[in-house]
Amino acid sequence: MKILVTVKRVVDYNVKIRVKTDGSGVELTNVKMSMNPFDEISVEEALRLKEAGKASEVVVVSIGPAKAEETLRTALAMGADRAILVETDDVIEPLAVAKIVKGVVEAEQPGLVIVGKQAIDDDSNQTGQMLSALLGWAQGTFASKVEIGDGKAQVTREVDGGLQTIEIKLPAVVTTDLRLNEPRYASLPNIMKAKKKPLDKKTPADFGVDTTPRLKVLKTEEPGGRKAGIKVKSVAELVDKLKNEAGLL
Amino acid sequence: MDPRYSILFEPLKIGPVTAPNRFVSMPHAIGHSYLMPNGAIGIRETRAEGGWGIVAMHLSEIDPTSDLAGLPYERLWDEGDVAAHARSVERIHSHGALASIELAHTGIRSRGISTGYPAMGPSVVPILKPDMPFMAKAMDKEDIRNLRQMYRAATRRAKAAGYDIVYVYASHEASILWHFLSPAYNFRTDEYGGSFENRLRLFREVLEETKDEAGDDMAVAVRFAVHELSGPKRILNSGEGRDVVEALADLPDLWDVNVSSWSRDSGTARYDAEGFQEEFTSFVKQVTGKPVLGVGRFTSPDAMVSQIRRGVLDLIGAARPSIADPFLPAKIREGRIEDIRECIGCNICVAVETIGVELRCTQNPTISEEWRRGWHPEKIPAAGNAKTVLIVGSGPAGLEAALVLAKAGHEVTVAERAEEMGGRSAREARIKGLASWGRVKDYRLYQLQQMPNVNLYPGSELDADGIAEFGADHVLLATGAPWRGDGAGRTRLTPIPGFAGAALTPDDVMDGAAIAHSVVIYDDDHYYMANALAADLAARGHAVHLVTPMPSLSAWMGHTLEQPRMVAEMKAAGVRMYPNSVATGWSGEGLAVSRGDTGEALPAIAGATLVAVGTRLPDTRLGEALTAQGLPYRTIGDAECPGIIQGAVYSGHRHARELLGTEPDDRVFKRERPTLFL
Repeated sequence: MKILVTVKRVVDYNVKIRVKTDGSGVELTNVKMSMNPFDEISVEEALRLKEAGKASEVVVVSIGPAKAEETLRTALAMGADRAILVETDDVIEPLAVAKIVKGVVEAEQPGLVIVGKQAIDDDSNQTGQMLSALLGWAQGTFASKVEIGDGKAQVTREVDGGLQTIEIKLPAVVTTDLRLNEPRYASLPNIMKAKKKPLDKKTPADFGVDTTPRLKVLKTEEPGGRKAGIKVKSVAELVDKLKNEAGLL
Repeated sequence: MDPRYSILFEPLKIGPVTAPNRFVSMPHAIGHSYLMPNGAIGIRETRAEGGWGIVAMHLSEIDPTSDLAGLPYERLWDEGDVAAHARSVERIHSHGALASIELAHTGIRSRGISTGYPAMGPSVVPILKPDMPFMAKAMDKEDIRNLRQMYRAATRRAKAAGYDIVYVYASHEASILWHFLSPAYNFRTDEYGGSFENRLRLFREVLEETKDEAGDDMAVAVRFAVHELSGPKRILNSGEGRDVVEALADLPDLWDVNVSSWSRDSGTARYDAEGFQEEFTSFVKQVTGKPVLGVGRFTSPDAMVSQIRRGVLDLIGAARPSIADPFLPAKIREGRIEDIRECIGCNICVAVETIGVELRCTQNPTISEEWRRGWHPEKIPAAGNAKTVLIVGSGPAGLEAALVLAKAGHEVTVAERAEEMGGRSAREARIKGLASWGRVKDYRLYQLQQMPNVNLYPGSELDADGIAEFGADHVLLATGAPWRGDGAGRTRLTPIPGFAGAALTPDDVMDGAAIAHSVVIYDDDHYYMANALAADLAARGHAVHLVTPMPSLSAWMGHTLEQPRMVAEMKAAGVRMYPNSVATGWSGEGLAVSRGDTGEALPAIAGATLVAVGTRLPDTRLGEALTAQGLPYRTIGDAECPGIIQGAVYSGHRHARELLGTEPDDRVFKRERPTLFL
């Protein structure tokens, strides 16, 4: 079975995010970028399935600018077999991403697609679900455990009340949650080796997908800063403030 | 500005002057005496630039009868000394800060050997340095009258130099005013001795006369130790420490309070937490209506705000945190809390001062280099064209070099063999008491993680072929230096029979090697590693024997002011100590030892595990392989020369600057030359 894994180039999770002064979005100029952490988990899971003999090949795909090749090289350094870059400088919304990935799926015919549950830049949490609908495949979202059986998979999902285990038919789309695994590093020697692994370049047009945005960003703003605390003199005053100022009681 | 921290930026009126904010860069030794005014001004001006509201001139002796011979302090003896002070004040003022000066007569702390005038004090007593064969003379009435005139004249000179705040200094057992006050040293029977009022008399007179001289132009601060944590006949905050504050309550314009002795005032992170002086000094604000300034190795803005809001202090004093990060106030003002380079509380700054060397800092390699090398703590000159740099090793040297080169604009890749970045800064920080060592890596890793031109790779061991294949323009080897296990150390440079193959090294212990219940640690390193491992192992239930060939445990910790605390820690932890014990061999019977001085054999010290803490040797294999391939590289940090963490950080910084091409080819930086034939 072949596994297709999506990876996205996002602002590095260590970087302190700054909003552009005009409020049009997040500052990306001269900012460190790296692989979306949920996608690292997706790659790791695919590699573990391959190492366990459940998969024969791991293919990674990214949609983004030329620099996204670095992100794919990271996935190849972790152990993926080959990569596909769908190159575009446009802003690609989740639906367009799902449509492009659908095109890749039709070309590659994987038995499983692993998608991060969300990207840490826009936090949309939509692509996996949309892809599943477009393909008409089963989906197992927010996975914290994946077990591949004969023609089906057991997926343990992180839901509000705790954990839910479902059985889905393959081929399927799985979206990964934080606790699924702890991804390995792409070491420098492996990064260098990854330069020799195959990487195909495509464009959205190759899949006939119109990527024109359907959403409009009205405003982007930072969360309000924490206000300085105050000191109360008595429990009575504290209760009064909680009741009448904070509205918590 | 973050509203949580705005209180730190509220101006405060101090007598006739107004501090622009609550940050005070404290008086402290900087290893630049009056002989090196340019370097000293470089340190102080950088702090004023970094946002400290008050920048202090450290202890300045007012007369040749105050003679801290051999220690690099400041002087304000006569008019000829004023020009250098005036220049310092002018540079501090140019950034909007106030300038203060700690005038002092060091009394029985003086040595009298340099100037030829004997030390003097309230009584005939030995000078406060038992290992020096000098005495202090008792002052008669005329000496006292002269001393008061010295203080008046020095205050006039401080005013002429333009200072905003003048100190009446009575702390650290280093002021004659303290020596008169303390019943430990004052055995007089006249009106300057005996009762509390009599012992306080000189202090009060000098304070009143300083106020008189300061007039309406300068504020007068008192620096006073309200509580002694060591010494004979201690002054306590429950007794005369409080009585002094009550007696002089509103006489000074500012109370700058701390604990004594100096070694306790400058407690290290291993023994004292941030804000540790609060329990001793918090009463002062209840007694006086004047502003109160205090210290406590503050690096956290939250801790600072808490001190002010809870009415403990009005002004936050910092010596060591201002060394580690001269831009600490500016970073808080700009909301760049993560960019603060926090003091690790190691006291290397103190240690080098005690050997008469210019200030050094583990966290801030640019200290003392502001003037002579033109190094700025925050600004790195931009590289002309970006090059690729590969740094092998992510310890203190590797990370510091990476930061400098990345700030200059180069494309920096750091390859670390271990799964964790940080090298010894990460490993040693896990030893009991050394957690703050981790700040060395924490600060640098955070900075590097923000930069798009930096790639950090843990779990990435490289060989020469890998380095060649990477093809960087510059290669820096920061591969560190493992500990030797063969017994070779600082007093014995050759292996000790039976050690090789049997002894564990500190690296083995840090890597989790199996250790028997009974452990013998042989310390021929004489700094923190052996005793920190002893404390760590004792806390984990081992029976620990700590053996050293030197007459006392960890001579260098005498310089960091930690030695007495460390010995007390060993005793409390149940560690058995064997000073003056030279190891001659290790066998099934334990450690064979002889006396260090006479050479007589001593009973063997039994133990099942031996830990040898000697010296370290760089691993040169990678460098040799690169040389064989004809690949150029630099070796930095412990890999170049094994040393303390400060040395590794400095090495990384210096090599990086050299690579940028901004350093002198002949290694000779700017110097302060004496003027010949005045």
